[in-house]
Amino acid sequence: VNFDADLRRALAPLAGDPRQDAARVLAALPAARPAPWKPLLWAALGAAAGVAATLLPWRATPVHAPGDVARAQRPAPTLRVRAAHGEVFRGDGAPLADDAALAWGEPLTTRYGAAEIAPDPGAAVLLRVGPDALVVAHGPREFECEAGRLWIDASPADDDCQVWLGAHGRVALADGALDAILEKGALSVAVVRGKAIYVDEHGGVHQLAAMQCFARPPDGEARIEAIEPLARTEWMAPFLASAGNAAERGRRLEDLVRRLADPAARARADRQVRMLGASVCRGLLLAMDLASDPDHQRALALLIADLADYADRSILLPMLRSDDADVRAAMYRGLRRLTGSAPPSADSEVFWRNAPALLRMQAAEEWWLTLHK
Amino acid sequence: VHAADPAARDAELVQLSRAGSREAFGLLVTHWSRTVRAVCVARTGHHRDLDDIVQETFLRAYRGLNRLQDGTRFGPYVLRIAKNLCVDRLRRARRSVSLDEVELEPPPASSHDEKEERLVALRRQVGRLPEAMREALLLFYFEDLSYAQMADALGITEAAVNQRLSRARAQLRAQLGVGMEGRP
Repeated sequence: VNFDADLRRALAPLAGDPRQDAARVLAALPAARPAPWKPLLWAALGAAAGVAATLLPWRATPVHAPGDVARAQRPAPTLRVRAAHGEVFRGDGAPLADDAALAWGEPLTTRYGAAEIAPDPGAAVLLRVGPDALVVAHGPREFECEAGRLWIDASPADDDCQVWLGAHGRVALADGALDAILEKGALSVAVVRGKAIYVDEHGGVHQLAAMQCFARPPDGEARIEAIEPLARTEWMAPFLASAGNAAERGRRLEDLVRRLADPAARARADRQVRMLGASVCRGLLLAMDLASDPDHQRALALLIADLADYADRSILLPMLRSDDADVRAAMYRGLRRLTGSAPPSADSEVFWRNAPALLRMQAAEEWWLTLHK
Repeated sequence: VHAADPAARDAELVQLSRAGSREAFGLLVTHWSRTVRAVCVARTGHHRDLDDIVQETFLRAYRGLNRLQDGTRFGPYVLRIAKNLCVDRLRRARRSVSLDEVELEPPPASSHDEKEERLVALRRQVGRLPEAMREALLLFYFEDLSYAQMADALGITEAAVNQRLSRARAQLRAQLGVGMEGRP
């Protein structure tokens, strides 16, 4: 008889099950946690109205009622494919197009394609599904990724956003964005904004901060590593070009412009700006006005010249008068590409680099008149 | 990630819970429910309201999370709530707060053999220990907490934890007539 072991066995039935305790507590939690100012608000309301009942939200029970009532009055959310690029399919193999509705629990698969989906109305979460993926939305904040790549951007709501990652456990985030990849037995969960909790298949808990990634190769050891956010978001560039994502595009452009000033990050940032297309030209022009470093200005000018479409020609024309020969040459190339011609006396890059200022000004004037006749 | 530093883990989970993460709060419950249960069982015994007390402890902790200034102190914070709730319960039951004996019998197991009878006797004797010893014993055997963690949770020194555990074991052995090697 081992006294210590007997004691442990004797007391074990009293210890309970932490998971059951957690489930019971979570089931009884209020729909949304009271903010710090709420007690003061309720107290003020109570004093003004002289109604003690205003203190009700602070009673132990019922903690459910207000949120549940509000939820019951909301229209039932629907799942909508906001954009589909390439080969995107329903569970039955039927192709999915922009603005198609998807049923809860219905698998979405991609091959050489990608999709952006969100529950409406008032979606507090946005999903982007990458190539070779299988994803199922079980509820407005409950998703499953069996394979492929999934981007999830969640705003605060009553519940965490939960994503089950095949046989790799699950990840939860309340307010943040993450990029998850399940490929050939490997898992990578990278948090780009906010914080997330990853619970692995063995119940191990890993708290991930922004710019951290939980990575597990097929037969290797799991580790947490730092990420380069541009590397994890590049694949979503086609979605940012759409009109519906203007705000996100603006934020991304701001970030990319900042990175263009860093020689180490310039090549990747340059590539990603190009993926955003002509819609960012005016933003780049504004950034060029604000930039003080000549190299940074030059990098921005080259992007404007390469990305501009015909409607942007009026942006390019004034920059033919720049003091920087590289900028003038870039604008010449851009305008030549857009208009298909140039003044005969100024139809060469050598002219715009080396000709006397007076001649260049006359040629720029001539080009302007030709384009605005 | 924070296995080596539970306080840092708790601080992050508290921060996430404040941001609205129910998952994070669920993990706090998972990490602390056995400790809370040990404290409650030590004070009130094993009874049918125990699950409710544990649940109410965490619900109160959740509602007051914004008042917790230091997230690393979540453990002592939730244990204080648990102790207060136990006191309330005992008062409602018109029983003395400083309880010398509690009933520790869980629901009966389906098979009832000699070995089980020995465990029943052991539980009965644990229930007869002074509350402070009982609490130390339950914390130790429920959670396998280190002395440092127990000291932090109970608000006493590690030496005091060691003393309570040693005395509890010695008293149990004496009550059961068990030798130091664990043999009667």
